[in-house]
Amino acid sequence: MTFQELADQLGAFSLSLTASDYAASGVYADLLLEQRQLRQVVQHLLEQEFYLVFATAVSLKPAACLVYQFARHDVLFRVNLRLFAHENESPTISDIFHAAMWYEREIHDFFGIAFTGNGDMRPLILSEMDAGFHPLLKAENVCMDAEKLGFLPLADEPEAGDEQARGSLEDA
Amino acid sequence: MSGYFSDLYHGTKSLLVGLGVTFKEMLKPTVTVHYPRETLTITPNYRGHIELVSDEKTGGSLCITCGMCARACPSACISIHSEKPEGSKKKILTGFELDFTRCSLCGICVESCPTDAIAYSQEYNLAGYSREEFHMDLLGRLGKGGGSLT
Amino acid sequence: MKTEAFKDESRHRFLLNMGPQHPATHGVLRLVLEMDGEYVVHLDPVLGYGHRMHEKMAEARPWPSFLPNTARMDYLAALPYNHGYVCLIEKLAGVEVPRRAECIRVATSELNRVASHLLWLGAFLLDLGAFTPILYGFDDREQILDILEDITGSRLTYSYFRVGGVYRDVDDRFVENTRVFIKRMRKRLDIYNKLVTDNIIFIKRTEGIGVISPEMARRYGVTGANLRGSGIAYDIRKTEPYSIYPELDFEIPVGSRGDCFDRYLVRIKEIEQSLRIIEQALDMLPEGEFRGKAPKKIKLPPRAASFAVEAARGELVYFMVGQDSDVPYRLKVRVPSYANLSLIAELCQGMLIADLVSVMGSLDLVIPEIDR
Repeated sequence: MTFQELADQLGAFSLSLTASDYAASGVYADLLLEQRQLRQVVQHLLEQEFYLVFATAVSLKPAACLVYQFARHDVLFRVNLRLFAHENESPTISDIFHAAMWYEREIHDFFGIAFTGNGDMRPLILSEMDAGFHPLLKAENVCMDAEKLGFLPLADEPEAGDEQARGSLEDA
Repeated sequence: MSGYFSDLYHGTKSLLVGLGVTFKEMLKPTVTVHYPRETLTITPNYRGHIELVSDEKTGGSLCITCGMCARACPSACISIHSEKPEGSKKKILTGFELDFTRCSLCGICVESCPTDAIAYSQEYNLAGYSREEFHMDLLGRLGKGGGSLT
Repeated sequence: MKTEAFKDESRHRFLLNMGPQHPATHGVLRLVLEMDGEYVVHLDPVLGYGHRMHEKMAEARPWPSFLPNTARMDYLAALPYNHGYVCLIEKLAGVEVPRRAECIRVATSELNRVASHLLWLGAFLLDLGAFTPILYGFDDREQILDILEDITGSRLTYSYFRVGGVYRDVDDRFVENTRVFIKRMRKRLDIYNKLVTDNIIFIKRTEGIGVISPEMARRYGVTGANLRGSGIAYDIRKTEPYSIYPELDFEIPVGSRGDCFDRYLVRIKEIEQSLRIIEQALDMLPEGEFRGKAPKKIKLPPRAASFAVEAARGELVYFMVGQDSDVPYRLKVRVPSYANLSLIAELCQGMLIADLVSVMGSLDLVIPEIDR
């Protein structure tokens, strides 16, 4: 699997894979997604024998950014998938990559992002008593703009003002 | 059925070989040390809690109270007190305290010191009855030549 | 494995709490087991008993102050954790590392890996009821700890690597002691094989138990010896080589069936390979500086970057987002045991509880690494 091959395959979903400077970022490719595209891309990666290295989130303005890193066992090819969790919600991929189950539960604990379709959103690391406490969520005054940290949001995405939803989250 | 007997044979043999190994080891000299009746000598490079180094000329500390170590410390366990006497240009050290309850023995303070005024001690047998016993006054210990904890 | 009695739902089932304080969980991990007699019907791991929130600590302090934290996640093999962290900073700041330092880093990391595998070997067999091997394992591990203590100054949480090199130079005594150890360890591996590998009881307890298929390993993101036991030769040291690994000659042992026995065999063979790596790194060890010049203040650039290394238990990734200051905006640590443990609910369904203990041991878990 090369960069070009994956770029061609993803072209079929009308997605453009961006090459990333490996020496600087540690990944070969970067893909910014919209929420509705996530599951089909991830399904494709599973069929192409990728594995999920990790999933995490970064607390940003206007919305937290989810980062999924995928890699392969046969060749060196790391890909970062990014999408913004508008309204603090995102589709689950835990039924495709089972590894995501714990990562999603951890993100839910630490950032308060709910994964729609994930049947088990119980706290994994925090306890039931910590509901509403999200240690890695940045406060308004220290939360950085996504653009400033190189997490460019999609241009055509509606500007979702999810600041209201922040901190007052219900379980999925 | 032949598999059963071959299993039985190889299985028994493997257990006897294993017993042979332990029997041989039994006859070898003991490798453990009967602490505390015997103790091992500790390497001179051991990273214990920090200690102030005494200035050979004056007998005082080499510390110039710059505060680099206190800032470099990840756990903020060093606090330095200094004062500037009338007519003197330099600050002098009046207190150097280490909160050993929070120290993680990483050694970043020792590396950050511009005058090599702090070094590692060789103490590893530290035990006490209260937390306060580990709030160490390093300047006070300097006069007593470091020494054991009390 | 499944008997007729097991399928009979009407039989009385009960809940069993394994842990949080249980020797076979190798840390503070709680498994809530739904049992049908001796069989595990359903398993639910509960994490977080020893969580220290290292990722939050990273966001609250300049990056040099986080270095001691990296040694405290996987305390059995702390050096690869140091290695990944300093490599990431070096990459972001463009710091050159002297060759001597690279050789020292690889030699000490591999020593640490052998020490970790030896402790795993002892603990695994202790779980299976064999008491003797842990004593031999600790004897050998003690030699490694003495060697490492002599150069790093501590025995477990080393914090030995620094950006641009290592904290203290090694001397001839280190080289000599390590060579003596390698010679000794090769002889000892023979003893382990006689005592454990061929042992009929051990084989019966591990062969065909807890089979992880390559497909399942991929779905759960399993890495390290657990993945290689399933026959996939994936090792960051080969696939994505860092430091001086590209120049070294070593093999990646793989298993074929993916059961507990294969995972055991892979780790034993890895010890051999690590000894080969240490030997080569010592042969290469050039004269020169052990710590290069690194800028005093390194500002982390405002973008995301990651760095992967092969820790003793699998793939370790540091993912860092800088904010143009020396305090990271976000640091994610991808720890291998987290993914390695997450499959246990699927793997152990319908298994005997005695086999569950065998599987847990063979996965080589370090819980403080999961609860990081």
